[in-house]
Amino acid sequence: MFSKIKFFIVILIISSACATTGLKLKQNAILGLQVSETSLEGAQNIERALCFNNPLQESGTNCTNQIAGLVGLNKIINDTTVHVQISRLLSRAFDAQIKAGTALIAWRSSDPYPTSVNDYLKIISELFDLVRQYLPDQLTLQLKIESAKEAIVIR
Amino acid sequence: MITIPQLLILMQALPALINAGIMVKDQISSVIKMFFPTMTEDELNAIVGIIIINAESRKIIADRDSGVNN
Repeated sequence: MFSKIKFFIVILIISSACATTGLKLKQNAILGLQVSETSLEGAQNIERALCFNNPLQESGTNCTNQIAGLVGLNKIINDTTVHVQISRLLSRAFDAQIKAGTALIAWRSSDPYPTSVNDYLKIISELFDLVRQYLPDQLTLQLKIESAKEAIVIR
Repeated sequence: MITIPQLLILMQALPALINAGIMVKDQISSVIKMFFPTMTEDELNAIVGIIIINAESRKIIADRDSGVNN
């Protein structure tokens, strides 16, 4: 009798552990996206603080902070400034985050990993390369973007 | 976090505890959760909801800075 109950308990624990492991994978993916989103917000705050005298009040394509020119945000690449290029990539990255989050809600660990998460990673990599090339001295900004990239869990 | 020796002792005691009506399924589930800490689907969906709200507001700012929706 006791051995049957023991067997039942072992099966119960193993099956629960398997279900929990699936949920754990989803949890890791979602918590990773959350950390990544926070890091990217930090990167946006740093870039805007370099661009605007009052980042809470100001916005737009033209930087008002004198530091912007010194660090390289006003440099023209492909007919626009580095500030605009960074903002475009940030917009795409936040858009990709929304899509990745929506996909992760429906995702089951037995399904193929959502492609939107990979799309998001590609944009972050593009952003990191741009910042490293045109704002090489802005290490804190680079670190924030790198953290946003590293936080993403790919199975 | 429960240790492996503690889990083994618990496994030994489980049949007696269940027979005595002391331990029920929910409590077994709690023990499993201690060993494999996870959030529920609802908790995870709530986190994604927050991520999406934050990302949407940040996207609006980025669009303004890139000349979209000025």
